[in-house]
Amino acid sequence: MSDALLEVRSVSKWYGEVTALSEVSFTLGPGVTGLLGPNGAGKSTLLKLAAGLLQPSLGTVRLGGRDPFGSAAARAAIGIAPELEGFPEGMTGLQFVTAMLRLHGWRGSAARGRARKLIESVGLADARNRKAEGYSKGMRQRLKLAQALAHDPLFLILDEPLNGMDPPGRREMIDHIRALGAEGRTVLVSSHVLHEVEAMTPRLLLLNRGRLLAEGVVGEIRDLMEDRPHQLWLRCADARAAAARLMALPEVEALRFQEEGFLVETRRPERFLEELQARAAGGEVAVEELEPRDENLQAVFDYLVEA
Amino acid sequence: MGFPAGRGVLEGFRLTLRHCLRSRRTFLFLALGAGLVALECVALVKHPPTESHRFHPLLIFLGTTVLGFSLPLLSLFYSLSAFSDDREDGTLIYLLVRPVPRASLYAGKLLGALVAAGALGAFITVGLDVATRVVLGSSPLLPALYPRFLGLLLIGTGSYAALYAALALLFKRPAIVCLFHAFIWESFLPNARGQLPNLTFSHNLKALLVDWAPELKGIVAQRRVILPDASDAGTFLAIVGGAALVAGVALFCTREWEKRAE
Repeated sequence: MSDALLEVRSVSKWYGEVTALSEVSFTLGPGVTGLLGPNGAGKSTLLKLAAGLLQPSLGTVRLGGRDPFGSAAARAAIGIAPELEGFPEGMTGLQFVTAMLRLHGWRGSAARGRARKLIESVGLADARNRKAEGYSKGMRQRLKLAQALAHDPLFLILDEPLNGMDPPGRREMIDHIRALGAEGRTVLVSSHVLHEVEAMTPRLLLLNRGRLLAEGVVGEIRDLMEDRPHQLWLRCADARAAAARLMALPEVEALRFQEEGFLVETRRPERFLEELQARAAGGEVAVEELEPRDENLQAVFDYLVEA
Repeated sequence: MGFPAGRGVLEGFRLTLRHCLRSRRTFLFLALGAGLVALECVALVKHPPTESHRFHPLLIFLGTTVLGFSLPLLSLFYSLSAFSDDREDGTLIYLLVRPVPRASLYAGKLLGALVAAGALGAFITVGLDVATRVVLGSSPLLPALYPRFLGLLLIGTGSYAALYAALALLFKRPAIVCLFHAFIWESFLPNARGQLPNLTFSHNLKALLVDWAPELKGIVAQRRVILPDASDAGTFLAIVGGAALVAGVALFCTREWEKRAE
C-alpha cells in the first residue's frame, strides 16, 4: 500500500515469558480495517503499539514515518477509543471532551464549542452535562468516539466499539465508522464479533496467538487457502440425479447431501461453476439455488484459527 | 494553539488538582485538620501557656502535627492519587495518546499533587493559628513568620511529593513503601544517634525552620536536638528532591503504563 499511514514491521512483543505478538508485519492506509482474533490473540497489544502506548520488544512501528511512542507529533494524528469503561472521576461528558481538546491546543470557548458539537454528533446532546461515570455502556462508547474524533485525527483506533450498545446504536455506530473510512481516515477496528466487522469492512487483519494469520479482503484470503476445498451448496430439482452427474466431474472432490440439497467440495470453484453452467444450459442439472458456504468471514476465521 | 509542553503541564495540573480535591480523601483530610484544630483548642484551654513554658503550644503543634505528620501524609496520598489512580483505572491512556511531551504531563501532575497537599497543609496551619488567637487572644505566629513557615511548607511538600511520585511509578504497591518512609523512616530515624537523623526530610525541614525563625530555637535547646546547618539541610532537600524528580520524569517518559490486557 503506497499511501500507508501505519507501518508495522516484524514486531514482536513479550511480557516476561509471555509472547503477546510474534513477528507481525503489515501496513494500513485509508479506509476501515477490521482486527479480528479470539481472546488472547494479541489484538489489544497491537492496538496499543499502534497508539504509541507500548513499545515493541523487537521490530518497528511507524505512524507517518514516526515512532508514536516517542514522538508527540506522531500522536497528534491518533484518535483512540479504548476498550476500558472509565473516565476521569467527576467530569461531565462535555468537560471531558473539552479537556482532551485542550491537550490538542484548543482553547477556551473554541474548545467548549467544538466539544459540544462533537457530543451532539454522537447523540449525547441531552447528557452532555451529566457525569460521564453515570453513563450507560452505550453512551460511554459514544463519548469515547467523540473524544477520539475531537481533534480530527487521520488515524482512528477503535477497540471493541460496539460493546454494550443496543441494536439501533450498533447500526448507527457501524454506519458512523464506515463513513469515517469513506472520508479517507485510516480506521483500525478490533472486535471479536465477526458479523459486525463484516458489516463495517471486508478488509481484515486476522490474529491468533500473537501471530498475524492473514491480511486482506475476506474473499482474497479465502482464495489463498488452497489446502481447503471450497464448499458450494446446491438445491436441484432432482437432487440425486444431479449429484450423480456432478460427482463425475474431475473438479469435484467430495459431495454430501445436506439440508434438502447437497454440498460440493472443490479446489477449482471457477472451473466447477463453468461446468455446472454448461450442464444447466444442457438441461442435465436443474439448479434451484446455489450458495457458497465458506466464503464468509466466519468460515475463513474458523479455518485459519483451526490451522 | 500554545506550546505542547505548556499544554501538557497545564492540563496535567488541572486534571490532577481536580481529581485530588474532589476525592473523598480531601474530605477526610479536612476533617483531620479540623480535628487537629479542636485538639489544640482543648490543649490551650486545659493547659494555657504560662511564663514557665519555654515554648508556645502552637509551635509544638506546627512542628509535630504539621511538619512531622500532616505534611508527609498529605504529600503521600496526593502523590499516589496523581500517579497511581489513573494507572489503576486505565484513564491515563487518554493523556498518553495526546501530542504533548510526557515530561510535561508528569510536571503538571506533580504540580497538581503539590498544590493540593500544600493547600491543605496551609489550611491546617492557618486553622491552628486562628484557633490560638481565638482561645488566647494572641499567637506567636507573627505576620512576619507566616511567609517563612508557608514557604517551608512548600519546600517540604515538594520534597515529599517528588519522592512519593517517583516511588509511585517505581513500585507495584507504592503505598506500602511510601507509608514505610512517612511513618517509620521519618518518625524513628530523627531520634536515632549520629548522622542518621540527617537522612530524613523532617529533620532537615526543622533545621530550615529554626534558621528561618530563630524564635523557635528554644524548642531545639529544650529537646536537645542537634540539627544540621541550614545550608546542609537545604542541600540535602534539594539533592534528594531533585534526584527523585529526575527519576520520576525518566520513569514516566520511558516506561509503558498500559496494563497487559491479554
